[in-house]
Amino acid sequence: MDSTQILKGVLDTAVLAVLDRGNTYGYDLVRQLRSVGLEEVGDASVYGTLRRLFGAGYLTSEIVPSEEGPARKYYGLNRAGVDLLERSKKTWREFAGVMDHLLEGEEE
Amino acid sequence: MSITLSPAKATYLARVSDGLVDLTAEDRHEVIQDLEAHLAELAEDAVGRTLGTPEDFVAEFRRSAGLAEPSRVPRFDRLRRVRDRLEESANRLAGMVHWPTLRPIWVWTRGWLLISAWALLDGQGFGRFPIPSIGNSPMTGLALTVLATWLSVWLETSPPSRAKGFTSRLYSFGTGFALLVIITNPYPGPTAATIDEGMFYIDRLTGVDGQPIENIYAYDLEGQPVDVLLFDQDGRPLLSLPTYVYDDAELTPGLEEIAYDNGAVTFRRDQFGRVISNLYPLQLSRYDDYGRLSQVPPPSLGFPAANDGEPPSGPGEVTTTITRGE
Repeated sequence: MDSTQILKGVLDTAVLAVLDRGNTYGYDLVRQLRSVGLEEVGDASVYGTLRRLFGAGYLTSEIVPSEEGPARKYYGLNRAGVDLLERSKKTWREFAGVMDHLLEGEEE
Repeated sequence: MSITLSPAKATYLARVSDGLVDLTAEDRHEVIQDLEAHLAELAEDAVGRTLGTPEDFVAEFRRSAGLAEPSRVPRFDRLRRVRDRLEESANRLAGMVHWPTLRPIWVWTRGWLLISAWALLDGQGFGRFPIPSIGNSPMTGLALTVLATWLSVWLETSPPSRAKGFTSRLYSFGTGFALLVIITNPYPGPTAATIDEGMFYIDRLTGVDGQPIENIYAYDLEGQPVDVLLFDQDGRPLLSLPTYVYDDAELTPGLEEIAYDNGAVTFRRDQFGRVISNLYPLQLSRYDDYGRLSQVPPPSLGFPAANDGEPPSGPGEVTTTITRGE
Protein backbone atom coordinates (compact mmCIF):
# COMPACT_ATOMS: atom_id res chain seq x y z
CA MET A 1 0.00 0.00 0.00
CA ASP A 2 1.22 3.47 -0.85
CA SER A 3 2.01 5.17 2.46
CA THR A 4 2.00 8.61 0.90
CA GLN A 5 -1.81 8.64 0.90
CA ILE A 6 -1.88 7.83 4.62
CA LEU A 7 0.82 10.41 5.24
CA LYS A 8 -1.32 13.12 3.72
CA GLY A 9 -4.00 12.40 6.29
CA VAL A 10 -1.70 12.45 9.26
CA LEU A 11 0.90 15.03 8.28
CA ASP A 12 -0.69 17.63 10.56
CA THR A 13 -0.33 15.30 13.51
CA ALA A 14 3.23 14.38 12.55
CA VAL A 15 4.24 18.03 12.31
CA LEU A 16 2.59 18.85 15.62
CA ALA A 17 4.34 15.88 17.23
CA VAL A 18 7.78 17.06 16.06
CA LEU A 19 7.09 20.58 17.30
CA ASP A 20 6.00 19.14 20.62
CA ARG A 21 9.60 17.98 21.09
CA GLY A 22 10.80 21.56 20.77
CA ASN A 23 10.71 24.61 18.51
CA THR A 24 12.39 24.16 15.18
CA TYR A 25 12.57 25.51 11.62
CA GLY A 26 11.26 24.07 8.38
CA TYR A 27 14.35 22.35 7.08
CA ASP A 28 15.06 20.68 10.43
CA LEU A 29 11.43 19.65 10.75
CA VAL A 30 11.60 17.88 7.39
CA ARG A 31 14.83 16.21 8.46
CA GLN A 32 13.31 15.00 11.73
CA LEU A 33 10.27 13.58 9.98
CA ARG A 34 12.51 11.66 7.60
CA SER A 35 14.74 10.44 10.38
CA VAL A 36 11.80 8.71 12.09
CA GLY A 37 10.90 6.91 8.88
CA LEU A 38 8.59 9.28 7.01
CA GLU A 39 10.82 9.25 3.97
CA GLU A 40 8.07 10.15 1.56
CA VAL A 41 7.21 13.46 3.17
CA GLY A 42 7.50 16.31 0.70
CA ASP A 43 9.29 19.50 1.68
CA ALA A 44 6.60 21.66 0.15
CA SER A 45 3.90 19.69 1.99
CA VAL A 46 5.58 20.41 5.29
CA TYR A 47 5.80 24.12 4.55
CA GLY A 48 2.18 24.15 3.40
CA THR A 49 1.13 22.38 6.58
CA LEU A 50 3.11 24.81 8.71
CA ARG A 51 1.47 27.73 6.98
CA ARG A 52 -2.01 26.30 7.41
CA LEU A 53 -1.50 25.44 11.09
CA PHE A 54 0.08 28.83 11.74
CA GLY A 55 -2.77 30.59 9.95
CA ALA A 56 -5.28 28.66 12.01
CA GLY A 57 -3.64 29.86 15.20
CA TYR A 58 -1.99 26.65 16.43
CA LEU A 59 1.64 27.71 16.12
CA THR A 60 4.01 30.43 17.20
CA SER A 61 6.86 31.63 15.04
CA GLU A 62 10.04 33.49 15.76
CA ILE A 63 12.83 34.69 13.47
CA VAL A 64 16.22 33.60 14.75
CA PRO A 65 19.42 34.87 13.11
CA SER A 66 21.77 32.15 11.96
CA GLU A 67 25.55 32.17 11.79
CA GLU A 68 25.52 29.79 8.85
CA GLY A 69 23.00 31.38 6.52
CA PRO A 70 19.84 33.43 6.33
CA ALA A 71 17.69 33.93 9.41
CA ARG A 72 15.51 30.93 10.22
CA LYS A 73 11.90 30.98 11.27
CA TYR A 74 11.38 28.73 14.25
CA TYR A 75 7.91 27.32 14.78
CA GLY A 76 6.50 26.08 18.06
CA LEU A 77 3.21 24.97 19.59
CA ASN A 78 1.01 27.38 21.49
CA ARG A 79 -1.76 26.26 23.86
CA ALA A 80 -4.20 25.68 21.02
CA GLY A 81 -1.53 23.66 19.19
CA VAL A 82 -0.93 21.44 22.22
CA ASP A 83 -4.68 20.86 22.56
CA LEU A 84 -4.95 20.02 18.87
CA LEU A 85 -2.08 17.55 19.19
CA GLU A 86 -3.82 15.83 22.12
CA ARG A 87 -7.04 15.53 20.15
CA SER A 88 -5.14 14.26 17.12
CA LYS A 89 -3.35 11.64 19.18
CA LYS A 90 -6.67 10.42 20.55
CA THR A 91 -8.20 10.28 17.08
CA TRP A 92 -5.17 8.49 15.67
CA ARG A 93 -5.10 5.89 18.44
CA GLU A 94 -8.79 5.16 18.04
CA PHE A 95 -8.40 4.89 14.30
CA ALA A 96 -5.27 2.75 14.54
CA GLY A 97 -7.02 0.51 17.09
CA VAL A 98 -9.94 0.01 14.75
CA MET A 99 -7.63 -0.75 11.86
CA ASP A 100 -5.52 -3.14 13.95
CA HIS A 101 -8.64 -4.91 15.07
CA LEU A 102 -9.91 -5.11 11.54
CA LEU A 103 -6.69 -6.38 10.10
CA GLU A 104 -6.13 -8.89 12.90
CA GLY A 105 -9.65 -10.22 12.28
CA GLU A 106 -8.81 -10.74 8.63
CA GLU A 107 -5.67 -12.65 9.49
CA GLU A 108 -7.60 -15.11 11.75
CA MET B 1 23.97 36.80 8.56
CA SER B 2 22.79 37.17 5.01
CA ILE B 3 24.06 34.94 2.26
CA THR B 4 23.91 35.09 -1.46
CA LEU B 5 22.07 32.26 -3.14
CA SER B 6 23.53 30.81 -6.29
CA PRO B 7 21.89 31.95 -9.56
CA ALA B 8 20.07 28.61 -9.86
CA LYS B 9 18.69 28.85 -6.33
CA ALA B 10 17.76 32.49 -6.74
CA THR B 11 15.93 31.61 -9.93
CA TYR B 12 14.14 28.78 -8.15
CA LEU B 13 13.07 31.17 -5.41
CA ALA B 14 11.86 33.76 -7.94
CA ARG B 15 9.80 31.18 -9.80
CA VAL B 16 8.17 29.96 -6.61
CA SER B 17 7.42 33.58 -5.76
CA ASP B 18 5.85 34.00 -9.21
CA GLY B 19 3.67 30.96 -8.57
CA LEU B 20 2.32 32.49 -5.39
CA VAL B 21 1.54 35.84 -6.93
CA ASP B 22 -2.07 35.67 -5.74
CA LEU B 23 -0.99 35.72 -2.08
CA THR B 24 -0.57 38.95 -0.22
CA ALA B 25 2.93 40.35 -0.22
CA GLU B 26 3.25 39.55 3.47
CA ASP B 27 2.15 35.93 3.07
CA ARG B 28 4.41 35.45 0.09
CA HIS B 29 7.31 36.93 2.00
CA GLU B 30 6.72 34.43 4.81
CA VAL B 31 6.86 31.51 2.40
CA ILE B 32 9.88 32.83 0.55
CA GLN B 33 11.68 33.49 3.82
CA ASP B 34 11.23 29.85 4.83
CA LEU B 35 12.24 28.58 1.43
CA GLU B 36 15.30 30.80 1.22
CA ALA B 37 16.64 29.33 4.48
CA HIS B 38 15.76 25.86 3.20
CA LEU B 39 17.60 26.38 -0.09
CA ALA B 40 20.64 27.63 1.75
CA GLU B 41 20.85 24.26 3.47
CA LEU B 42 20.67 22.26 0.25
CA ALA B 43 23.56 21.36 -2.02
CA GLU B 44 23.33 22.85 -5.49
CA ASP B 45 22.49 19.56 -7.18
CA ALA B 46 20.00 18.56 -4.50
CA VAL B 47 17.51 21.33 -5.17
CA GLY B 48 15.66 19.73 -8.06
CA ARG B 49 15.97 16.25 -6.60
CA THR B 50 14.44 17.06 -3.22
CA LEU B 51 12.10 19.92 -4.03
CA GLY B 52 11.08 19.13 -7.61
CA THR B 53 10.54 21.94 -10.06
CA PRO B 54 9.39 25.31 -8.71
CA GLU B 55 5.98 24.62 -10.23
CA ASP B 56 5.82 21.22 -8.46
CA PHE B 57 6.79 22.89 -5.21
CA VAL B 58 4.10 25.54 -5.58
CA ALA B 59 1.42 22.94 -6.43
CA GLU B 60 2.33 20.75 -3.46
CA PHE B 61 2.54 23.74 -1.15
CA ARG B 62 -0.87 24.96 -2.25
CA ARG B 63 -2.48 21.56 -1.72
CA SER B 64 -1.13 21.12 1.79
CA ALA B 65 -1.73 24.73 2.78
CA GLY B 66 -5.32 24.50 1.59
CA LEU B 67 -4.87 27.28 -0.94
CA ALA B 68 -7.03 27.44 -4.02
CA GLU B 69 -5.43 27.58 -7.42
CA PRO B 70 -5.13 31.14 -8.68
CA SER B 71 -8.42 32.16 -10.23
CA ARG B 72 -6.87 33.56 -13.36
CA VAL B 73 -4.05 32.41 -15.52
CA PRO B 74 -1.27 34.97 -15.33
CA ARG B 75 -1.06 37.14 -18.37
CA PHE B 76 2.02 36.94 -20.52
CA ASP B 77 2.22 33.26 -19.65
CA ARG B 78 4.03 32.44 -22.87
CA LEU B 79 6.46 35.26 -22.21
CA ARG B 80 7.12 33.83 -18.78
CA ARG B 81 7.91 30.42 -20.22
CA VAL B 82 10.36 31.97 -22.66
CA ARG B 83 11.94 33.91 -19.83
CA ASP B 84 12.18 30.74 -17.72
CA ARG B 85 13.90 28.90 -20.54
CA LEU B 86 16.33 31.77 -20.97
CA GLU B 87 17.05 31.75 -17.25
CA GLU B 88 17.59 28.00 -17.26
CA SER B 89 20.00 28.33 -20.16
CA ALA B 90 21.81 31.16 -18.39
CA ASN B 91 22.05 29.04 -15.26
CA ARG B 92 23.42 26.10 -17.21
CA LEU B 93 26.02 28.45 -18.64
CA ALA B 94 26.70 29.83 -15.19
CA GLY B 95 27.28 26.28 -13.96
CA MET B 96 30.21 25.99 -16.35
CA VAL B 97 32.16 28.64 -14.49
CA HIS B 98 32.95 28.98 -10.82
CA TRP B 99 30.26 31.48 -9.88
CA PRO B 100 31.09 31.93 -6.20
CA THR B 101 34.40 33.40 -7.36
CA LEU B 102 33.14 35.36 -10.34
CA ARG B 103 29.82 36.61 -9.01
CA PRO B 104 31.24 39.42 -6.83
CA ILE B 105 33.22 40.63 -9.84
CA TRP B 106 30.05 40.57 -11.92
CA VAL B 107 28.08 42.43 -9.25
CA TRP B 108 30.72 45.13 -8.87
CA THR B 109 31.36 45.65 -12.57
CA ARG B 110 27.93 45.47 -14.17
CA GLY B 111 27.15 49.08 -13.20
CA TRP B 112 30.22 50.19 -15.08
CA LEU B 113 29.28 47.98 -18.04
CA LEU B 114 25.84 49.54 -18.18
CA ILE B 115 27.06 53.15 -18.13
CA SER B 116 29.93 52.38 -20.52
CA ALA B 117 27.48 50.92 -23.01
CA TRP B 118 25.36 54.04 -22.67
CA ALA B 119 28.41 56.19 -23.37
CA LEU B 120 29.31 54.10 -26.40
CA LEU B 121 25.78 54.17 -27.78
CA ASP B 122 25.69 57.90 -27.24
CA GLY B 123 28.85 58.17 -29.31
CA GLN B 124 30.97 59.55 -26.49
CA GLY B 125 32.92 56.54 -25.30
CA PHE B 126 35.44 57.15 -22.57
CA GLY B 127 36.80 60.52 -21.54
CA ARG B 128 39.74 58.87 -19.85
CA PHE B 129 39.46 55.11 -19.77
CA PRO B 130 37.85 53.52 -17.81
CA ILE B 131 35.59 56.46 -16.96
CA PRO B 132 32.69 56.66 -19.40
CA SER B 133 31.73 60.08 -20.62
CA ILE B 134 28.04 61.01 -20.38
CA GLY B 135 26.75 64.36 -21.57
CA ASN B 136 30.30 65.28 -22.54
CA SER B 137 31.29 64.94 -18.91
CA PRO B 138 33.45 62.21 -17.39
CA MET B 139 32.28 63.44 -13.96
CA THR B 140 28.67 62.71 -14.87
CA GLY B 141 29.79 59.32 -16.18
CA LEU B 142 31.65 58.61 -12.96
CA ALA B 143 28.68 59.67 -10.79
CA LEU B 144 26.29 57.49 -12.80
CA THR B 145 28.71 54.57 -12.61
CA VAL B 146 28.88 54.88 -8.83
CA LEU B 147 25.07 55.03 -8.66
CA ALA B 148 24.63 52.02 -10.94
CA THR B 149 27.21 50.04 -8.96
CA TRP B 150 25.44 50.87 -5.72
CA LEU B 151 22.13 49.68 -7.19
CA SER B 152 23.78 46.47 -8.39
CA VAL B 153 25.22 45.70 -4.95
CA TRP B 154 21.95 46.60 -3.25
CA LEU B 155 20.01 44.27 -5.53
CA GLU B 156 22.44 41.50 -4.68
CA THR B 157 22.45 41.92 -0.92
CA SER B 158 18.95 43.05 0.03
CA PRO B 159 16.26 40.51 1.01
CA PRO B 160 14.32 39.00 -1.90
CA SER B 161 10.99 40.49 -2.85
CA ARG B 162 8.88 40.46 -5.95
CA ALA B 163 9.73 44.06 -6.83
CA LYS B 164 13.40 43.38 -6.28
CA GLY B 165 13.26 40.22 -8.34
CA PHE B 166 11.79 42.12 -11.27
CA THR B 167 14.30 44.95 -10.94
CA SER B 168 17.15 42.50 -10.62
CA ARG B 169 16.12 40.64 -13.77
CA LEU B 170 15.71 43.93 -15.61
CA TYR B 171 19.16 44.97 -14.46
CA SER B 172 20.69 41.68 -15.56
CA PHE B 173 18.97 41.92 -18.94
CA GLY B 174 20.25 45.48 -19.34
CA THR B 175 23.77 44.43 -18.44
CA GLY B 176 23.61 41.56 -20.92
CA PHE B 177 22.61 44.05 -23.58
CA ALA B 178 25.40 46.36 -22.44
CA LEU B 179 27.92 43.55 -22.81
CA LEU B 180 26.64 42.96 -26.31
CA VAL B 181 27.03 46.67 -27.10
CA ILE B 182 30.56 46.76 -25.71
CA ILE B 183 31.60 43.61 -27.56
CA THR B 184 30.16 44.73 -30.88
CA ASN B 185 30.91 48.41 -30.18
CA PRO B 186 28.94 50.26 -32.84
CA TYR B 187 30.92 53.40 -32.09
CA PRO B 188 33.57 53.98 -34.77
CA GLY B 189 36.27 54.30 -32.15
CA PRO B 190 37.18 56.17 -29.03
CA THR B 191 39.14 58.69 -31.07
CA ALA B 192 36.40 59.82 -33.41
CA ALA B 193 34.73 63.11 -32.67
CA THR B 194 31.41 64.11 -34.10
CA ILE B 195 30.69 67.61 -35.17
CA ASP B 196 28.76 68.75 -32.10
CA GLU B 197 31.60 67.94 -29.75
CA GLY B 198 34.28 70.41 -30.58
CA MET B 199 33.28 73.03 -33.07
CA PHE B 200 32.91 76.19 -31.01
CA TYR B 201 36.15 76.62 -29.22
CA ILE B 202 38.68 76.23 -31.96
CA ASP B 203 40.68 78.89 -33.63
CA ARG B 204 41.44 78.13 -37.16
CA LEU B 205 44.70 76.22 -37.56
CA THR B 206 47.48 78.16 -39.20
CA GLY B 207 50.84 77.27 -40.57
CA VAL B 208 54.12 78.92 -39.55
CA ASP B 209 53.49 81.62 -42.15
CA GLY B 210 50.15 82.50 -40.57
CA GLN B 211 48.17 81.15 -43.47
CA PRO B 212 45.16 79.04 -42.56
CA ILE B 213 45.55 75.29 -42.77
CA GLU B 214 42.63 73.90 -44.67
CA ASN B 215 43.57 70.29 -44.84
CA ILE B 216 45.98 67.82 -43.29
CA TYR B 217 47.53 64.83 -45.02
CA ALA B 218 49.13 61.98 -43.14
CA TYR B 219 51.31 59.14 -44.42
CA ASP B 220 52.56 55.95 -42.85
CA LEU B 221 56.21 55.00 -42.69
CA GLU B 222 55.97 53.42 -46.10
CA GLY B 223 54.78 56.70 -47.52
CA GLN B 224 51.25 55.50 -48.03
CA PRO B 225 48.46 58.02 -47.34
CA VAL B 226 46.38 57.19 -44.29
CA ASP B 227 43.19 58.55 -42.74
CA VAL B 228 43.70 59.91 -39.25
CA LEU B 229 41.63 61.35 -36.43
CA LEU B 230 43.45 64.28 -34.89
CA PHE B 231 43.23 65.64 -31.35
CA ASP B 232 45.06 68.21 -29.30
CA GLN B 233 46.74 67.61 -25.93
CA ASP B 234 43.40 67.81 -24.13
CA GLY B 235 41.68 65.34 -26.37
CA ARG B 236 39.79 67.99 -28.30
CA PRO B 237 39.32 67.29 -31.99
CA LEU B 238 41.42 69.41 -34.32
CA LEU B 239 39.27 71.27 -36.82
CA SER B 240 40.79 73.08 -39.72
CA LEU B 241 37.90 74.88 -41.44
CA PRO B 242 36.02 78.03 -40.46
CA THR B 243 33.33 77.53 -37.87
CA TYR B 244 30.50 78.29 -40.29
CA VAL B 245 31.39 75.21 -42.28
CA TYR B 246 30.88 73.03 -39.24
CA ASP B 247 27.72 74.98 -38.41
CA ASP B 248 26.34 74.11 -41.81
CA ALA B 249 27.43 70.54 -41.37
CA GLU B 250 25.55 70.34 -38.11
CA LEU B 251 22.43 72.07 -39.37
CA THR B 252 22.18 69.96 -42.49
CA PRO B 253 23.01 66.46 -41.33
CA GLY B 254 21.81 64.82 -44.55
CA LEU B 255 23.73 67.12 -46.83
CA GLU B 256 26.82 65.59 -48.34
CA GLU B 257 28.55 68.69 -49.61
CA ILE B 258 28.84 71.89 -47.62
CA ALA B 259 29.63 75.10 -49.52
CA TYR B 260 32.90 76.56 -48.43
CA ASP B 261 34.70 79.66 -49.77
CA ASN B 262 35.10 79.04 -53.47
CA GLY B 263 34.46 75.35 -53.17
CA ALA B 264 32.87 72.71 -51.01
CA VAL B 265 33.80 70.17 -48.40
CA THR B 266 32.36 66.70 -48.28
CA PHE B 267 32.39 65.38 -44.77
CA ARG B 268 32.69 61.73 -44.06
CA ARG B 269 30.16 60.39 -41.60
CA ASP B 270 29.91 57.49 -39.19
CA GLN B 271 27.27 54.77 -39.46
CA PHE B 272 24.84 56.98 -37.56
CA GLY B 273 25.13 59.70 -40.14
CA ARG B 274 27.10 62.02 -37.89
CA VAL B 275 29.85 64.13 -39.33
CA ILE B 276 33.30 63.02 -38.18
CA SER B 277 34.80 66.45 -37.86
CA ASN B 278 38.45 65.62 -37.31
CA LEU B 279 38.94 62.87 -39.86
CA TYR B 280 41.72 63.87 -42.24
CA PRO B 281 42.32 64.46 -45.02
CA LEU B 282 39.10 66.41 -45.57
CA GLN B 283 37.57 65.96 -48.98
CA LEU B 284 37.81 69.48 -50.38
CA SER B 285 36.64 70.61 -53.80
CA ARG B 286 37.30 73.83 -55.68
CA TYR B 287 35.63 75.52 -58.61
CA ASP B 288 37.88 75.62 -61.60
CA ASP B 289 38.02 78.37 -64.17
CA TYR B 290 35.01 76.89 -65.94
CA GLY B 291 32.86 76.83 -62.79
CA ARG B 292 33.17 73.08 -62.40
CA LEU B 293 33.72 71.57 -58.99
CA SER B 294 36.71 69.26 -58.81
CA GLN B 295 38.42 67.60 -55.92
CA VAL B 296 41.55 69.24 -54.56
CA PRO B 297 44.34 66.70 -55.02
CA PRO B 298 46.82 65.92 -52.25
CA PRO B 299 50.14 67.76 -52.34
CA SER B 300 52.88 66.05 -54.22
CA LEU B 301 55.47 64.86 -51.75
CA GLY B 302 58.79 63.14 -52.01
CA PHE B 303 58.16 59.86 -50.29
CA PRO B 304 60.20 57.16 -51.96
CA ALA B 305 57.51 54.49 -51.58
CA ALA B 306 54.74 56.77 -52.72
CA ASN B 307 56.60 58.02 -55.74
CA ASP B 308 58.49 54.86 -56.66
CA GLY B 309 61.79 56.44 -55.84
CA GLU B 310 61.37 59.34 -58.23
CA PRO B 311 62.86 62.58 -57.02
CA PRO B 312 60.51 65.26 -55.73
CA SER B 313 59.28 67.62 -58.36
CA GLY B 314 58.25 71.20 -58.30
CA PRO B 315 59.25 74.15 -56.23
CA GLY B 316 58.37 74.38 -52.58
CA GLU B 317 57.70 70.69 -52.24
CA VAL B 318 58.91 68.84 -49.21
CA THR B 319 61.37 66.01 -49.26
CA THR B 320 61.34 63.93 -46.15
CA THR B 321 63.69 61.12 -45.25
CA ILE B 322 62.13 58.64 -42.91
CA THR B 323 64.20 56.19 -40.94
CA ARG B 324 62.72 53.57 -38.67
CA GLY B 325 63.64 53.85 -35.01
CA GLU B 326 65.30 50.92 -33.28
